[in-house]
Amino acid sequence: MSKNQEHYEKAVRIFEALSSVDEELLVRSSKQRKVIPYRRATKVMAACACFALVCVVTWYGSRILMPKENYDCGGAENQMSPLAEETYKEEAVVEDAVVEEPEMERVEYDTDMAPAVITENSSNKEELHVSGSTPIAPEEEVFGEVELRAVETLGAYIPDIIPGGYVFEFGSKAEDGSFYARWSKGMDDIVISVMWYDGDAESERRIVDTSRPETYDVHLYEIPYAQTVPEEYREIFNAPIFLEKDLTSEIISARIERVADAGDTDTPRGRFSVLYESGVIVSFNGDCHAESVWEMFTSIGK
Amino acid sequence: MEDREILDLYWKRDEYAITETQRRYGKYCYSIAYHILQDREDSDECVNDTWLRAWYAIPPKRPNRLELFLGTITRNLSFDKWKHKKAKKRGNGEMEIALDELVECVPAGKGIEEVVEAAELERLVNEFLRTLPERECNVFLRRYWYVEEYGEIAARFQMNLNTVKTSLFRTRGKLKAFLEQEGIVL
Repeated sequence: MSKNQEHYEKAVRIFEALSSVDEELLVRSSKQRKVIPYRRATKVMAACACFALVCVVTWYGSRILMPKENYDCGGAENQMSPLAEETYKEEAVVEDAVVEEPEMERVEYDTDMAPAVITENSSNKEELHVSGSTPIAPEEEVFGEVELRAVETLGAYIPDIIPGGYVFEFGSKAEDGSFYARWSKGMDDIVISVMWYDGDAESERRIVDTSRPETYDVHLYEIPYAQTVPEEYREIFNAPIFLEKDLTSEIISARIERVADAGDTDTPRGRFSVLYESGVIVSFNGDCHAESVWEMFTSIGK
Repeated sequence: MEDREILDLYWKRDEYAITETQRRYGKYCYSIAYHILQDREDSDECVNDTWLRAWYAIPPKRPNRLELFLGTITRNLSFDKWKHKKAKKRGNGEMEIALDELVECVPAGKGIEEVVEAAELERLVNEFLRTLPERECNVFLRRYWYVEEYGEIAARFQMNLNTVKTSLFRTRGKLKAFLEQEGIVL
């Protein structure tokens, strides 16, 4: 067998090994970003521009038409000129009209199965062009932040404080009410999952005894962890669950680290879960500084 | 019909299960097969074989995610068929290109280690994927699990085509380094 052929056969083995990829990873890879159509975005932007213009005109108008002594003493809002009052009314109307403004920046995820419209293609060979046919498994429905916060009991476990600059992207909810929500800042993401603790053997094994940092402290080991973390700690180390009473900023710091990954941001990242006395588990997985993650967790249920 | 109801039909040995599976996952499975085989008839055949395999597998199985259970069967069947066809004549489809790329991940063995078992390799590949940033992992899986073209991946994740290429190039390098660090021989 030639060297090339030999390598080729080995590549086949890697391809075959991929058949057993965790379902969770495959599901995640089926999420599809869908950008708001350009025309729609343009309309929203135009509405924003109009709103900004009206604000400027209103402000100038009120300054010109307002008696000097009024705006000097800060009483303008009570003694507005008829024209200024009119423009304020207009502004209020415009404000109502642009309630949907945040949608412009929202990134939607395709949650339906790909249409897989099959059309004949005139190119060479006998192949078909499978238009838009990238396999997307049917997904759960996408939810907004407000809807997720309104979920009975579990919704209250979304942190009230989200680190600055992170914008809510989307969330997804299962039938039992458990859900996850994602915020992004550029290439950095924060994903919070909230669910009921199932208490099975696998979960039990992942509950951390904080007196044993060797089971959870990422700073004690070198990457790749597969080589440095002892086999007996792998499971708990990969997905530790801390009890609510044990959670401290030091514990969080022990789970967050900066990874020098080519092509990625240098924001520290980490993942862990917290089991609350109520039986709810909140999992964090994302790119964020430890102090900010601590702040997030301290804001839960406040 | 929801997955749960379809699975109930399988468990009752009701052949309507296959009709419903075809209706819900026919295009999904066909698409997986077609990306690998690039042939309409072969893809149809693999999809039909998928239903048959599922019929014999459920019960006793009751998959948590029916779509991935079916998708994996389709992928395996399609890849087997592709290998069978390739033995006769080497083509130049997307599958061929993807495998050529995966050659870059083959670790350089020192000749003294034992060849890794398939199950161990699967475990290590999973472990490796979990070390990757989410987007990088997604791109890798779209390319080497679903055998999607660069353009499709770029469109899916709203990425630049070159970024997709660079990401895959880096991930292949990382996988090779990872397997070498693990002392793996394929």
